[in-house]
Amino acid sequence: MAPDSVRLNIFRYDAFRGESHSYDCYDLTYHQNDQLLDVLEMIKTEIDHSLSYRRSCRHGICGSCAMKVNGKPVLACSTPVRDLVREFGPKLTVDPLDQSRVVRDLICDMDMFWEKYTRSAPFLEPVTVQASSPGPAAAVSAEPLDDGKTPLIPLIFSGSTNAIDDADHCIMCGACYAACPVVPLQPDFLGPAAITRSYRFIKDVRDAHPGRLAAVGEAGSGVWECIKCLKCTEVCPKQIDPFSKLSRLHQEVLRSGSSPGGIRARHTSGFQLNLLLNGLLNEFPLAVFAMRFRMITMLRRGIRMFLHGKLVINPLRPRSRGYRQIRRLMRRSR
Amino acid sequence: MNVAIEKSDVVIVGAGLAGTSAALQCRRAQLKTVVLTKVHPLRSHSGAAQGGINAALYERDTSAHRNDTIKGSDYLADRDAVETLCCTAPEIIADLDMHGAVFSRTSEGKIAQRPFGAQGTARTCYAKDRTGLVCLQTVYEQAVREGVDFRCEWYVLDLLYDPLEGRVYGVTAMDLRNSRIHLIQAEAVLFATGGYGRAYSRTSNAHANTGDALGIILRNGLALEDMEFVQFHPTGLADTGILISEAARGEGAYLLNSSGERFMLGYDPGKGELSSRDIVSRACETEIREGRGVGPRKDAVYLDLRHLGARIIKERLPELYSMAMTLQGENMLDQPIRVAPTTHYSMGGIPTDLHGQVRDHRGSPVYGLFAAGECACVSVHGANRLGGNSLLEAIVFGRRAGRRIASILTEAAGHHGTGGPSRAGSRTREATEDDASPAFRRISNFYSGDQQGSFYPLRKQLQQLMTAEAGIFRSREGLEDARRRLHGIAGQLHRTKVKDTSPCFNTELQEALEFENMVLYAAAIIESGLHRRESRGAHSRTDFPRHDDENYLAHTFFHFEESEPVLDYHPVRSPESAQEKKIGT
Repeated sequence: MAPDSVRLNIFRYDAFRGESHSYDCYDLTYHQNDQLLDVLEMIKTEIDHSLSYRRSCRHGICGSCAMKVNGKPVLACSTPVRDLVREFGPKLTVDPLDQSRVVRDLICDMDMFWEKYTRSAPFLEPVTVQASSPGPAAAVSAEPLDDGKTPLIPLIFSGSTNAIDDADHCIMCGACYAACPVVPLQPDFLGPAAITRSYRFIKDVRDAHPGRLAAVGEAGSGVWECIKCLKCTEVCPKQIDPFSKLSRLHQEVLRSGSSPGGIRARHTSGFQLNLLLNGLLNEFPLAVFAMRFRMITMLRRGIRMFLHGKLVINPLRPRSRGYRQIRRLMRRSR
Repeated sequence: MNVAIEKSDVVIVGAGLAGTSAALQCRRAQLKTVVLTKVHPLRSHSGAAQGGINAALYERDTSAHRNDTIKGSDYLADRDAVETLCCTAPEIIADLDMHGAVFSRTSEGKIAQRPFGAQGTARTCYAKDRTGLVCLQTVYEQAVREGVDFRCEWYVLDLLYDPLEGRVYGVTAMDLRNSRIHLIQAEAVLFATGGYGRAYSRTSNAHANTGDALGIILRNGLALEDMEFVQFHPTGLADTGILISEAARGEGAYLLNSSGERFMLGYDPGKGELSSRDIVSRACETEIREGRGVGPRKDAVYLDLRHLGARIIKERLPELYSMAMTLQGENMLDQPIRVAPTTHYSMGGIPTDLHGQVRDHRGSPVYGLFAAGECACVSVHGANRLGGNSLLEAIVFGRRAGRRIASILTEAAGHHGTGGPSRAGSRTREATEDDASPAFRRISNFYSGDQQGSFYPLRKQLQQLMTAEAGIFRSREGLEDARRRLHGIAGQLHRTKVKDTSPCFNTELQEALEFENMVLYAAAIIESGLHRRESRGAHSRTDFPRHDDENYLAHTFFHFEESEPVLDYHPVRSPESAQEKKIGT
């Protein structure tokens, strides 16, 4: 098949040169099955040897080569150029995942990303149970196997690992982290990748690490910071769907009651309470429930809203007519 | 010279399964352990392993696994090493499972196993078709838990080796973020740098698989073992060489030629598609050479999975499905996919004993130096590796090397206080700034004045040369021609220049240094192949098509003496020596 042509504008920068960034433009031809990485390699080996980017496995399993094309995070090695051209047209702009952390061309400093991964305690702490006790983890040997004893081959029902739901196949490429709009605004937010990692261990029947749920429920860093834009799920190159995992953790944190999680958590639980009681949303009590004494700071705005008829304070606001049905539905959806 | 000098108990180079498994053991023994890796540990190529990991879990004993491995190796594997590998396997699976690996399971809750090539029974445990990723994550994460010091994006340039004492005392490395040179003095150095598939133009290997330790070994006058044995995997994607796992055939896929015939039944009627990799690769290559290939250039054969059905493919081979779709635009549910043999694995490497202790060309130990994983040659794979044995080898021998290092160092500390004399009876030498000068010289050679031209075209030439002449089929003429041309490439390399002068992620310089290593061990592959005048396992000579047990049932040792290649042969270790070695392991 005849090759097609594409124009790439590639972000160039060198932290050691201290100059501002620029874009280099390359007009190239590509073949039917060329991936973005193939085209970059062509530039690197034949046109401009100084172009720098991370890459390794070439088939989307090592997670090295995440970068942005026209603003969309992709894995360069498993994104056909033809698909990009179909989506964005024949002019493509290639950027590093996060321009504010770039050190060289398409290479970003990923320390923050890895630091959050490490903070999520990304390792299994094996449960120690009696070999005779019932339950799915029954046959897990409690002894470290370093002592040379013949090990017990563990029995785990295949169903019990289904709950992990492919979360252990995250390749830590950072695409979701770069796409998440909360991360730049709330530097403490763990982000979708680290939270997906936590999910993976929370759902593992063999894990005994205490306090994982409390950690993801924490205000400022945990699940409450998510604004549910679904960007992470949209860009994940491995279709892991971080959002649905995060949202399941939301529910679990609420159900466990272990963590109030600040305003955002109370807002969510207040919302729920409101609906359960009346089948309607009554915003004033909800705001009081969520913000507590901080309502003071909203006083001026509240008065102005009231004067303009935007705030209805009616504690006796009637119930929704079908509130029993709503309550039933809510119970069932849990 | 701007050199940073630091001290550690142990330096491990490479953070794939072997390196990380070793690090975990060293750390558990409270040793100061530094792991240098040019990519983040989770980006290591161990994670790309797809099909599985062998263990005789539900068999009467491990003898069948052992026999299959020895037979698969074409009788070149050392029996004691194979025994160790197979006996430890069930324990490794249990350990991985206990620490979080999510293996695929049967409905009764047992660990599921699929059949792999040249094995009498279904023995390969798997996690869908992402087994390596799951194992790597598990081991790495336990290392994080133990607090191993990982230095990501550091590139190792040289070994600190005292040839008179026969002792290694550290490494020279470069921090890729700023190109700063570091000397890390250590009591023990472990190489776990993986394979060298990038020396070939068609390969399943990652860009990172440049076998750096092998070049460093040769530059220091040490030996490499069995380098002629390069495994070609029968089913790489036709256009790129990227791997389609043996799991596909394990689940029942067929190989078809242009007339739609299951040609493997002609080459190995008993095992068919599940014959050993060397046999299947040669069969595919023969079909292609004899004009029964498929695809626009007739340079591939078909791998047909359609009869497996969508459920099995999506449940057990999801990665393969999406890879064929993305990388080659072929939907394996509706059409057969084009595959061809691809360079996959290096059976040879740095010679070691059962504890990862590196040996020189005479077979005597190089104190302070260890190796494990694909870069090492124990040898468990002999002339041909069985699918599912590589992840296993990396963990088993990585762990053993780590434990041996730990026992040597803690023993020495017990007798003489920390940092005391090692087993060689001599004190570890102090690293000085001068030790960095060979590394500086290597780098400055690429920047000196009058040179021009880039090494990239040379690298392409070398890769094509290796695939053509040191590939599936070899001959004296071809290998001699390769030797001549390699000589030319080596000469030209010294007249090339690196243009990029940035200290920050200078990937051009890094690739140039990697290529320099490649040129060295390519010579080892060619010379070892030229001198083995027989066909065995993956080494297939058209001019010597048969085994020659009388002369060549032996391991090749290759090293340079005054830049001249020297070959030695050492006998295969027998089962009797296995009995002796088992005591005290």
